[in-house]
Amino acid sequence: MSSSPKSNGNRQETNTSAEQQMQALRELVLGKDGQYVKQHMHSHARELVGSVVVEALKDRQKSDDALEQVLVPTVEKSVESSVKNHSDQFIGHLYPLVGRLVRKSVTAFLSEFLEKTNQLLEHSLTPKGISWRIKAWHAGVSFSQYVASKTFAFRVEQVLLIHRDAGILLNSVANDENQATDADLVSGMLTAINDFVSDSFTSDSAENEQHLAVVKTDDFTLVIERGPQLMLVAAVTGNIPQDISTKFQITNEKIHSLYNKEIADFQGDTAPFDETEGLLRACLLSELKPEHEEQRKKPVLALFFILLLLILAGFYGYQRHKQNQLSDLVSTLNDEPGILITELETQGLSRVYAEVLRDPQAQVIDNWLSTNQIASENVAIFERQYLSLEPQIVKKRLEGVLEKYPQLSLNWEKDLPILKGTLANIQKLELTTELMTIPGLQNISDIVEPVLVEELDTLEDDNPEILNALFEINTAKIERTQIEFELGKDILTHESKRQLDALANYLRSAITLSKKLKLNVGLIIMGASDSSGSAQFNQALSRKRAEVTQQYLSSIGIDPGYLNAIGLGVVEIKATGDSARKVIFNVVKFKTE
Amino acid sequence: MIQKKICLLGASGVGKTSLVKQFVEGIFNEKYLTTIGVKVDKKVIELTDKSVQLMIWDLEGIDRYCGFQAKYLRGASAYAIITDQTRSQSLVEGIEIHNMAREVTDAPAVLIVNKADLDVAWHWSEKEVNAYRQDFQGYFNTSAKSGSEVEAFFSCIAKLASD
Repeated sequence: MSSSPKSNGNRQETNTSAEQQMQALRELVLGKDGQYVKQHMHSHARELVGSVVVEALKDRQKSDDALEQVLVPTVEKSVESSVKNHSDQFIGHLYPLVGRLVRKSVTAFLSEFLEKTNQLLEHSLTPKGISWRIKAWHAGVSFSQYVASKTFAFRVEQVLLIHRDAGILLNSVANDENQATDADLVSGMLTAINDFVSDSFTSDSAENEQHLAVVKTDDFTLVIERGPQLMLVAAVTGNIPQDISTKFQITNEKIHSLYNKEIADFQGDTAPFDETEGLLRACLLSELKPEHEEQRKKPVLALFFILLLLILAGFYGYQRHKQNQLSDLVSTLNDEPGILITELETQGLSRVYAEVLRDPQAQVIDNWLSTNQIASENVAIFERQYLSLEPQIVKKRLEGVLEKYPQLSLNWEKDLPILKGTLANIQKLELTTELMTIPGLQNISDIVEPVLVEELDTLEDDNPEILNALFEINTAKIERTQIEFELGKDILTHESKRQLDALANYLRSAITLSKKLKLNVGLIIMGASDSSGSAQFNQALSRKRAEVTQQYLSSIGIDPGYLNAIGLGVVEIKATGDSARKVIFNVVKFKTE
Repeated sequence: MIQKKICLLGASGVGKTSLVKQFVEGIFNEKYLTTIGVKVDKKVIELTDKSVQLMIWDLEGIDRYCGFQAKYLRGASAYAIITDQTRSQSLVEGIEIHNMAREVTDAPAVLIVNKADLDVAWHWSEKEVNAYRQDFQGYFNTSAKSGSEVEAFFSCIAKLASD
C-alpha cells in the first residue's frame, strides 16, 4: 500500500514533533544534557564511589596488573616523603625488625656465597669445568658465556626497547652489563635492517608489509615484538620456549598503555622511559637445564671445600697453640742459674729456636730438656759460654775447689760459706790463692780464717820447691797489702797497724825462707798521695807516709836493713781518675851468689 | 639523554661516508652500506644548554636509476643533502633527492657542498647555488679531508634537530 507524498510529509512532521516533545520532556526531567542527574550524582559522588571503590580496585587487579603499575610510584613517593618527615616514627617501627632483617640478610649472603663458591669449584676444579674452559677458548667466547649456554636451557641476555620509526633506543637491560654492546647503534641498525627486509620482501600494498619477527644465529636468537610505536627486542641464548614471545608481547602492550602520553610526546628525550626498567627486567627470563637444577640444591663441593678449610684452620690453630706452649716452657730455662736466654723465636709450625748464654757450671741444656720432657727435635738451641755471678753458680765453683780438700767441711749460713777443718800452712795458702780465682766470691780472707793451721815438719825440710812456693806465697801476701791514709794525713790507723802486724809476720817468714834459698831480699815501701795540694807538699807527704810505715815496722822488730822507704808523689789511676792516698809494698829479691 | 636521528643523503661519491668517518664512533663495517644501503653511527654533540646524541644514518649514494629508500627517513629529526663541488651533476641529483625527501618528511634540511679542499670545478655560479640554498635551513662548504666546517655542520644539524 502506498501513501501519498503529503501524508508522508505529515508523518515526518509528527515524528519530528514527537522527538522534540520527548527531548523537551527529557530536559524537563533530567535537565539539559542530564544536568540534574549529574548534579545529583556529583553531590553524592563520595558515597557512591566510597561504597564500591575497594571492590572496583580488586576487580581491576584481577583482570590485569595495571593497577600495580599505577600505584607503585605513588606509594613509593608517599613512603619517601613519610620517611623524610617522620623519620623518628619510622625508626620506632623498624627498630624491632632490624635484628631479624640483619639475620636474614646474613643468612642469604652465606647461602649465596656457598652457592657461588660451589659454582666456582665446579667450574674450575672438576674435569667438566676444565673441558668447558678449553671448549670456550676454542669457540672464542668468554667462559661465563659458555657456562651460561651449557647451564641454561635458555636465557634472555638483553632486552632493548626501541622507538620504531626513528630506531632510537629508549631503554635497555642486560643480564651481564659488561656484555651489553653498543645497544643504541644496534637498535639503529636493527631498525634499518628491518626496514630493508620489509622493503625487499613486501608486495606493493602497504597492508602486507613484512617485518622481522625472529633473527636466529648460531649463538643467539633475536625475538622482535613490534607494537604500534615501540619495538621490544630480546636477545636469547639457548632454545627459546614457545610462550616467551607472548610474554614479550604483553610487556610491550603494557608499556604502550602505561607510557601512552610519553610516546606521543616523544622528541628524542629518553629519560621518561628510564622507569620501564622494571618491566624490561621482568623479561630477563631464564631456565636452568634439569640436571643443573638438581645440582644447585646440593652444594656438596662447596661444603667439602669449606670443611677442608675448617680442618686446616683447626690444625693450624692447634699447632700454633702447641708451639706457644713449647715456647713458654723453653722460656723457663731463664730461671735456671747460670743460663740466660738472649733470643727466643718460633720457627715454622712446630719448632722453637733459642739463643742462650750458659756458665760452664750451669745445668747441661740437653739434660734440662730431657728432665722437662721436651722433645729435642722440636727445639734448636744455640749456646755460648759466659761466667755467671749468680750465688748458686759461685757456690758450685766453691764446692768444686773444696773437693780437693777433703779435710775441710763446708756449711752454709744463708749465702755465707763456713769452712771448718785443719790444713797445712802451705795448703791453706794454696786454698786462698785458688779461692781468689773464683769470680764473684767475696771476703776470701774471712772465709779462710776459720781454717786451722797445723805446723808442718816439712817446713824444716830443705826441699827448694816447697821453700820457693812458700816464699812466693808470702811475697804475694805482702804485695797485696795496701795501707790507706786520710786526706793530707800521715798517721797510721788502728786497722793499718793490724795490717802491718800481719805484713811483718809474712816478711819475717820471707826473710827466713830467703836465707834458706840463699836470696837477698828487701822491702820497698812506696808512699803515694792524691792530687789535692801542691806538688811539693804531696811529694813530701808521700815520702812521710812511707817513712811512718817504715818506722812502725822497725818498731815491731823488723830489721831496718830490709826496709827502704820512698815517696812517689801524686799517683793517679788514669782509667778511673781516682787518686791513691796509700802506701804499697814490693818485695825485691836477688841471688846472693 | 636526548637522542636525535639524522640522515645523510646525496649522490654516489660525494663523500658522505668520508664526512662522518673521522668524526663519529661506530661499530659497523662499511659493507653494510652496500648490502642494506645504510650504516648507523653515533656522535654526542654539546650544545649550549644540553648535549644531544646524534644517531647518524649514512645512506648509500643515490643515483637516478636506483630507488629512494623513503623508510630510512622515518623518524629523522633533520637531514643533510651532500653535494660535491667538483661535479655539477651532484647538485642536480642532490636537489632531486631533496624534493623526494620533502614528500615524506618536513624535517629541517642542510645543504652541504663538500670537497672544499679541491678547486671548484662545477659550472654553477655562486648566485645559482645561493638560489638553491634558500630551500635549506643551513648551508656549509665542508672538506672531509681537512675537516674544515665538518664540526660546524654537525653542531648546526644537532641544533636544527633539537629545535
